[in-house]
Amino acid sequence: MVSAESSVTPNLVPMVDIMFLLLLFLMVGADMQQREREEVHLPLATSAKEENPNNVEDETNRALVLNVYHTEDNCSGYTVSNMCAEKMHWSIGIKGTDYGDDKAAELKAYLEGEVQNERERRGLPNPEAGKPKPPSELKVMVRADKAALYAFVQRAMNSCADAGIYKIEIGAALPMPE
Amino acid sequence: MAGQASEDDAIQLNVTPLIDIIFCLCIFFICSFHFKQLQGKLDSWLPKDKGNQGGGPTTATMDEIRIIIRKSSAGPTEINYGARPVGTLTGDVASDNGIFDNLENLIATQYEEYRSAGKQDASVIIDGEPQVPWKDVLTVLDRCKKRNIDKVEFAQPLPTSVNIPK
Repeated sequence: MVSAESSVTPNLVPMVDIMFLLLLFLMVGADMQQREREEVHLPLATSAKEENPNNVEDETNRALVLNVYHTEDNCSGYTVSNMCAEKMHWSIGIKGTDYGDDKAAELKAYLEGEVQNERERRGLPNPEAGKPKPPSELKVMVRADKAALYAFVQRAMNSCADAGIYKIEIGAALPMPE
Repeated sequence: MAGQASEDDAIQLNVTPLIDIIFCLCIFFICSFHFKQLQGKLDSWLPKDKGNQGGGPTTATMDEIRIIIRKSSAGPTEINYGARPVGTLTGDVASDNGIFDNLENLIATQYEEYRSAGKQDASVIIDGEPQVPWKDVLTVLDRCKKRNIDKVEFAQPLPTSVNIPK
């Protein structure tokens, strides 16, 4: 029989096991990789093809990701009415680098560089000087926030067109499975 | 001697600091954890047009289906199938879905007619004004893809430096 004076010591070992399992679950679910994809609230599209950004079937067909995202924290238009028409609140981001409205030339230069890299990767000859450049086979994925105006996305598309890119993929959110 | 540990006594491991460390790690991962949004993609094209024109929009051809999305003077978004108005989006989900359903049927019918007539170059062109919401433009694209229309383009002026192959 347990006497009134003996203390009851809880067994902590199963608790440690549970904590380990929980930790393992969170570590597996956490994504610590540096991403090309900024936090963008994509609009819904039921017909979008599911894609896994970490699974590249063919390295030559991988798309360059271009994000159109909102940069201003205290914007009532964005948070309340889900629509922000302020041009200065929007930016284009590629691999963590911002290309605001005042950096159109840098954006164009970057895209042209990517087009040139793609041409070299495919073993295509350089375009002859003085002659119009052929369109590029480089794909660009445009991930635009649902609160954006079409003008901001057009800016991104115009930059692509200026660089000779015509293949565009539009990023969209898939509806949650029922 | 009294007080000396004998060889038969088990060594007790103090697990309390271990639990503290695991708690800290769990809190860290819980705070940084978030559910990923399921993402997909819709294929589209910028115009690889029939001419090397710079500046203004290209001239319409007979084989194209042009969807014009614009802002009305009152503010809401208007959807037009070519020159024919389809409807004005009000923000009411049921009403807007009805407008998009009508548009989808118009596009699908015309596209099938073109394909049946052997016009393999038939394309749908989405021509939106800059101030329309992007989500409305994407919805039009989504509806086209729902009907398995592959060739959907965004209307846009082409730069003069690009040579268009025939």
